[in-house]
Amino acid sequence: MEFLFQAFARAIKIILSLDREFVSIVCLSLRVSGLAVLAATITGLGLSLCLYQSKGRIRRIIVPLLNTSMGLPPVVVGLFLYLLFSRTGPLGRLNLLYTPTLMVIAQWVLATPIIAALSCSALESSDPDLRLTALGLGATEFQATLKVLKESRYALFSSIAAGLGRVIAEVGAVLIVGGNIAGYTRVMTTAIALEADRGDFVLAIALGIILLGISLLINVALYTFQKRSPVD
Amino acid sequence: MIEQIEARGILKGFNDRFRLECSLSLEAGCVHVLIGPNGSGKSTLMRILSLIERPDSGTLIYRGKRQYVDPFSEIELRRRVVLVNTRPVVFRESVLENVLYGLKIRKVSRREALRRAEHALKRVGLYEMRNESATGLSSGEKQRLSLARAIAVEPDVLMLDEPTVNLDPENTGVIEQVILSLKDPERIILFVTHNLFQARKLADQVIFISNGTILEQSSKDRFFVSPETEEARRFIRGELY
Repeated sequence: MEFLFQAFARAIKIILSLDREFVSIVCLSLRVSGLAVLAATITGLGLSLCLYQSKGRIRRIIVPLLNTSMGLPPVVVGLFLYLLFSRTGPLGRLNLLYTPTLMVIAQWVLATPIIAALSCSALESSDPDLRLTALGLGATEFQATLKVLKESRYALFSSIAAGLGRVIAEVGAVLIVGGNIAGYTRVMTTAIALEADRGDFVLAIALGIILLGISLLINVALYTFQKRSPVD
Repeated sequence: MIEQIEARGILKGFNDRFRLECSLSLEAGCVHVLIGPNGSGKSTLMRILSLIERPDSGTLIYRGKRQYVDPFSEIELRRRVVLVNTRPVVFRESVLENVLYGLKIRKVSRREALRRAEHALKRVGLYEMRNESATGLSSGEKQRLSLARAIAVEPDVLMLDEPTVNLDPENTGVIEQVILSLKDPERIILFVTHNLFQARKLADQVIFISNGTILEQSSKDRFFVSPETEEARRFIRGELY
């Protein structure tokens, strides 16, 4: 037990001292996951809008596929991308393996179905007469769609937060495609896995505290935002 | 100004289950009341005449200084037509912002938009609640807000799809008064109702629709005193719902 307290105390020291290695790992994690979620928000929201406006067979095929993809195992995504981008793979010429760029791509693949599926569900559960009301007031199709998006903003924000929560805590895909290279592709989750493997728990605990802190921040922001949502 | 709307051979089908097939003419300066049994196609016809839903075939002509033969592709024309739905949907913002929406999309200056929005809210008796959240209003207040949103944009054509259904007498009275006050030689008003007393009170012209077909279009007096079709007679006697 004493060992655990000591490890926690040293971990807090690392956080407060803003240790260079520690800061670079946290910054890279935020950069990779932030960019991935930004890209996934654009593609996910775009896809959900297309599905919201489409009818019939395409929707019946794509929505279950998206829902299934929400549970994509990160290691499988990592493996698939590794095969694609390895030197002998079809995209090997791009030299993206073991780079932060491919880590962003991996996390984008993981976050897009989550954001798209949850956004689609949010749009579908919006008032069906909302669009008609906007059109009836003279809105163009585009303006009516923007209005539906605006009215669903609380649920859409939840879907983006869920996407961010998923990628920032994922380890399998970034470990395979990033290689966990110190100072270049080492992010919080891969560093925690490595340090725990080495038996050096101090940095792992420090990074774990930050990871939990980020998750807490996302949820507090989400809760505060949703509390502002007027109740019908 | 839109002086006349003429619908010729409008056809809209729904998977062989229902087919709307009609022709009619609406004139400025008149309150037209569209009545008919449930499921007769009134709301579909309203959406078509409001330029929100295209018919499968037929011609819709909007006549004013210009004649619009394909009015659906004319956004400026569409913005002179406003539809108020049966069930009022309010946006998750203040009462005032709700009314400003139609003005913002028409790019009316903020100052003029505020003036018009406040005037519209005064007309429906919601001015004092302008800064409250619209989602907290009662059903009757929400419908009055829907009407205020429509009034604020000063439409040439105002379509109201059963705006007083399920409302208490007080809110119904307010809405009826506002509709009567909106009657203008330069405005076409089309009002859907199931309430024959309301139709008698508001209508200049009555349009009777049954099973997707317009069976009668005549003056209020003529329709209620000597309807031409057996369906209309049964509807007036309360035998058709």
